[in-house]
Amino acid sequence: MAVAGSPTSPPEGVTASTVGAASSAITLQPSTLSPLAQVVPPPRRGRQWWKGRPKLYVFGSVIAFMVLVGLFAPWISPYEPTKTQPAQALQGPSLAHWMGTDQLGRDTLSRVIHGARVSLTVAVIAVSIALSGGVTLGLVAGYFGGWFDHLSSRFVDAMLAFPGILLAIAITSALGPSLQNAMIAVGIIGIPTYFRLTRGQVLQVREMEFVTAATVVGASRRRIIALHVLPNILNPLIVAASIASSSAILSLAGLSFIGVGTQPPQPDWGSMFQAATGYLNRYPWLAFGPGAAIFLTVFSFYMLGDALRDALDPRLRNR
Amino acid sequence: MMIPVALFASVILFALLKMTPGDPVRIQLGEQVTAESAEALRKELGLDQPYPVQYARWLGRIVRLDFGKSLRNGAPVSEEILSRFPATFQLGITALLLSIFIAVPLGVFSAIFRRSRLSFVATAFTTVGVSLPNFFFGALLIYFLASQIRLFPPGGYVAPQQDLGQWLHRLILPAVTLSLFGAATQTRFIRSGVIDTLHQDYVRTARAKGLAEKAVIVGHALRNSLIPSVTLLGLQVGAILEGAFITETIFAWPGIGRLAVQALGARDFPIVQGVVLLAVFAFMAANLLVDVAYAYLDPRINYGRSR
Repeated sequence: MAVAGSPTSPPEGVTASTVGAASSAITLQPSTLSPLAQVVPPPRRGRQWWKGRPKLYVFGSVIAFMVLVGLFAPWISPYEPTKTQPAQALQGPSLAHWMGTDQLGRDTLSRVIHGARVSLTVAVIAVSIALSGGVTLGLVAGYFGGWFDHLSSRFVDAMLAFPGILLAIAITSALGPSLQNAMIAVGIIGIPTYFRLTRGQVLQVREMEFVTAATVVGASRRRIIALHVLPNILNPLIVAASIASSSAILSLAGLSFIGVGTQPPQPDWGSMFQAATGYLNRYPWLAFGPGAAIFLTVFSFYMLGDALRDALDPRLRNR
Repeated sequence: MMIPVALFASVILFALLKMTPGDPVRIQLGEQVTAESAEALRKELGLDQPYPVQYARWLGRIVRLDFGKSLRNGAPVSEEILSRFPATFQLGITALLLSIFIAVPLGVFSAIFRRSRLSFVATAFTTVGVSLPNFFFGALLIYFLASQIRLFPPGGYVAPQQDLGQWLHRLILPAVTLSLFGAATQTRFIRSGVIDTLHQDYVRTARAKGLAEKAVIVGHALRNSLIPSVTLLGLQVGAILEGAFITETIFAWPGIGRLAVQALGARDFPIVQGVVLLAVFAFMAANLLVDVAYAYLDPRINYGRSR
């Protein structure tokens, strides 16, 4: 591996797909935390820790709202999202159709509401795939080192040689375009970020005295990893999960936009937007609804991640 | 370092290629073929060989830029891609330069004046920039600047050797769209880098010995803090290649991204694989260049020799 001895440290686990990826030769550590920073508990504990953090509040609420909208989509959406009414095609916003109707007369608002379901499911599943894959591999590679570390690190380097979405496109074109495959693809392209983050953290925590102490008293390796190492690397992982959710939604929207994600007639923000671009001149509101929904969700997850970082890791505040 | 990674990446691609549904023999000959002629073609294509042999042959063809033939019109994939490549190259380079011209001043000044309004603007720009999907941003630009006030054409392409003015006119909106994400991430990186450097001991020493603030910043802090941001350029190339898929589609820019999106729609997999391969290669080459440039700019770094 290359030695990146820069006077300034690279930025903390940056953002969407590619930026989380690092070049093959120069390792951008996703986090600049010193080992001490994670071992020290967050400064405000218990019920107080979110106080005085409006960002956490505001964007947490937006996400909670989105989750509720997604959960109760069938009950709160005014129309059936897939029901076509050609007689009412391409209407402007009105009391009956707040966001107007699309080229087939489907109610845009209802479709945006149902799209929240798709997007949030994708965020949860894709991030779960990325987390379980990346964290497991990273824990084992970081803790045990040796040939497994070498092999998995090289594998991750190879994955990082693909610009993220392109790898997802290659995966979905191999597995066939569908929402499920797009989720798997988006999850897989998230693995390297978590792998590197986890491995780097484990390498630091492994050398701490409490791990040595646990080894000395004869704790099994499984116990040390689960009870001593993992809890101490959780904070950066939580932050990364929030930011990864934002990039997962963005990636899926992109995949759906180019037609390898959700397939019609399933309501999805990316494919709705794609359909709307043909009518941009005369019916711009068609694109505005799904576009704004994507932006709001992605933005909120990103800001939530930022706020969590501030809350869980005081060292990086005010960047 | 690069060669094993490239080989590993090619194994991944080959595996994906083998997982692609559809029997290439059936695709080429249609459904009504005799078993003998199908078997003959399978032998001719080398598909009866074990996977390692197939992989080696495939790799050999890739190295010679032979990506096979388009399923749609039978034209060689490499020709199709090469004819579209200049448009993507022009768009990508412009977007890259644009993002640097936005990010460097914005990042540096917002770091120096940390509590200013400019700093707030920079932070807002970076957060919005990374979360605004480029198809949405592009559509907003088209709607307001092309169809409402008609300042720019909504899309299309004119080769620069035909009409430079028209080319530039049509280039601006897609380039701005494509540069947004890179500009936002670079601004953030540069800003935090400069802030970090301004807290270093040697900067305090420079101030303590009575240097003017301007000399401290320009002479001491900037040089050291901007060098690491060179590393980000390699990643930017990746982001631009990805963004090209969507941006070119929105603006009807006839580059490789749009070619691949159209090929995806037509299930023309050789074209898709060719574009992905080319993009991966371009991305790796960019990162290699960046690493070399980095070692040149920062003499403290040497790759591997010091161990």
